[in-house]
Amino acid sequence: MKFNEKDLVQIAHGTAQYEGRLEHKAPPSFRDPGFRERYFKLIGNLLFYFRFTEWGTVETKEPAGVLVLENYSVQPEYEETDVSFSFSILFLDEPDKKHVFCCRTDSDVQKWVNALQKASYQHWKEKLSSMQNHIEALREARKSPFLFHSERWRTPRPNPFSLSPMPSPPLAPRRVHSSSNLTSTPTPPLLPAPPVPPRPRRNPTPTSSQNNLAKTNEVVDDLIQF
Amino acid sequence: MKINDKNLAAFATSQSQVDKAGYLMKKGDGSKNFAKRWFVLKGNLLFYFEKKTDKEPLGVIILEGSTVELAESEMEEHFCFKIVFPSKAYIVGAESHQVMEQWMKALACASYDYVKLMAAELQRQLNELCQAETAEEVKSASKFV
Repeated sequence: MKFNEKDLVQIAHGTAQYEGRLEHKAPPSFRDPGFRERYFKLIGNLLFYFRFTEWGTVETKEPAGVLVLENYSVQPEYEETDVSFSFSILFLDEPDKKHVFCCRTDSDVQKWVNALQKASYQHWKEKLSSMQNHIEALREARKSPFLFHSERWRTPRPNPFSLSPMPSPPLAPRRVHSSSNLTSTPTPPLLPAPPVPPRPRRNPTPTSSQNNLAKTNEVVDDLIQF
Repeated sequence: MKINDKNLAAFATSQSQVDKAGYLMKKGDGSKNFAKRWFVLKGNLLFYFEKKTDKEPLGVIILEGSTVELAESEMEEHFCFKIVFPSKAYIVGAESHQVMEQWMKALACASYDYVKLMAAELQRQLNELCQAETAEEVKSASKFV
């Protein structure tokens, strides 16, 4: 498969999220079946590895190879009986072919596993999606207390001296902030990819007034019970 | 440089979410000729196949460090743009202006750094919302004291 090798070399010289020396044992189908010491650099979802020279320095000019980290899983490894402090990466299309890595300490294993588990692009996409949903939910929840608050002045207030417990006070209405609704995909300019994401378009969420009314009624009902 | 191309090929054709897919004309590496290719964008990886039903991509363009720009139209009735790297540029043609725009937008947002920045921005917004909520609760509660 063709790939943009020269550009990858450039990327490999950048700053890594995590890097270090590891013993690597590739799956049996590869040419070198045993453990080889390599210098690894994790940059985004790209795990580069560099060879060591005969003098023990890293051959930094060009990586020996790269593992693109998508569709994989990483876990600490306990099955390797002849080595301790190891972890493995397996790609889901070849689950019986593990890449095994050995570290010097257990803490190193933990650090590598943590870094590698967060490395895939898919991981960040999922995180983005769940945060967007969370923000949406918080903003929706905000809107109903506002409606409730205006209703509050018309319904009789509960007696503060009664023995029954007070319901928890509603949130005061929050001014609808001008910061944008992030459920809409940001539209970057057609020019070079922005280094900083552009402020997404302000796009007020269409609120279902029926929904809000139902929620308001619910809260009012709860209060009347006291 | 070695690359885990078998795993990549499997990823390209797997059921995982596709960000964008479609036919585009791709200018050859050495030649001036364009060839029709089926492109599939997944994250920061742009795969291209000879045709839609192929199991193995002809190649992959890892989009990190690239920018997307308009290009002079090198093909009749096609709207060209290029994916620019320090070492080279890939010139691609779309059959309509709309398709070209859609691809350019998708590719501009595709880098790993971009998605991480977006996540950081959302985290900041989430923190703000949560902090504001806590502050309001404290404020309201103090009214009843």
